[in-house]
Amino acid sequence: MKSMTKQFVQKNIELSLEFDNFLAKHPELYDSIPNGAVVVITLESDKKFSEASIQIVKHYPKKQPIVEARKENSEWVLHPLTLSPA
Amino acid sequence: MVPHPHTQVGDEGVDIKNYNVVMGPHEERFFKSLTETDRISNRLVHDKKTVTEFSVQYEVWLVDKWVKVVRYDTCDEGPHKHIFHKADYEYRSPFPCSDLNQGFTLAQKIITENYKKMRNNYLTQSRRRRL
Repeated sequence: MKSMTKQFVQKNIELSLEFDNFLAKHPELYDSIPNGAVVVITLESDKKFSEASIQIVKHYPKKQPIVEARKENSEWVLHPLTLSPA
Repeated sequence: MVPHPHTQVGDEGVDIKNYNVVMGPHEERFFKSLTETDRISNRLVHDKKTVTEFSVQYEVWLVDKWVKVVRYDTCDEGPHKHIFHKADYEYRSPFPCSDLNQGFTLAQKIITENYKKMRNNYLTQSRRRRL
C-alpha cells in the first residue's frame, strides 16, 4: 500500500464513484458483473493508472470472478479479466 | 406502526442512537448519524493509534429496518468497497489507500460527501431490477 500515490488513490476513488453512478443509469451492464465479482477500474487514456489498478487484484484469491471496467471517453466498457501470474 | 429508526433497540437492549460501545481493548463499534434515515456504521480495530482493521458501512432506513448500501472494509484481500443491492447481489472494487488509518478516514469522508447519490443508486436499481 505504501507505493500508492495520493494522485492514484484520489483518481481511483473518483472513477469508482463515477462507475457506480453510470451503472445505476445503465442497469443492463449488471449482466456483465456476476454476483460477488471484483470490478477493477481502468482508464483507456492512462496506461500507468490501469496497470497499477490491475496490480492490486493480482493478489486476490483466484476463485472470484474479476471484471475490468474500462473507461473509454465517456463510456464504460466491461469484460472479464484473466490475470497472468504475478 | 413502524418504529422510528433512532428509537430502534439493539440486541443489548440499549438505545443505539449515536452510541459508542467499546467491544474490547482494541475494537470499537459506533454509528455516525447523517440524517434521520441515513447513517454510517463503523467498526474499528486498532493497536494504540494504528488501525489494523476497519469497516465503514453506509445504511439507509427502509420501511422498518436499516439496510446496507455501501461498505468499505479490510476483510480478506485488503481494503475494498462493497456495493450492495437487494436479493443478496453485490459487487466489489479495490479501495486503494496508503495505510488503514487513511483508509478509515477516507471511507467516512467519501460516504459523507456522496451518500445521497449512493442512496439514489440503490433505490433506482432495486426498482429497475425488481430485486
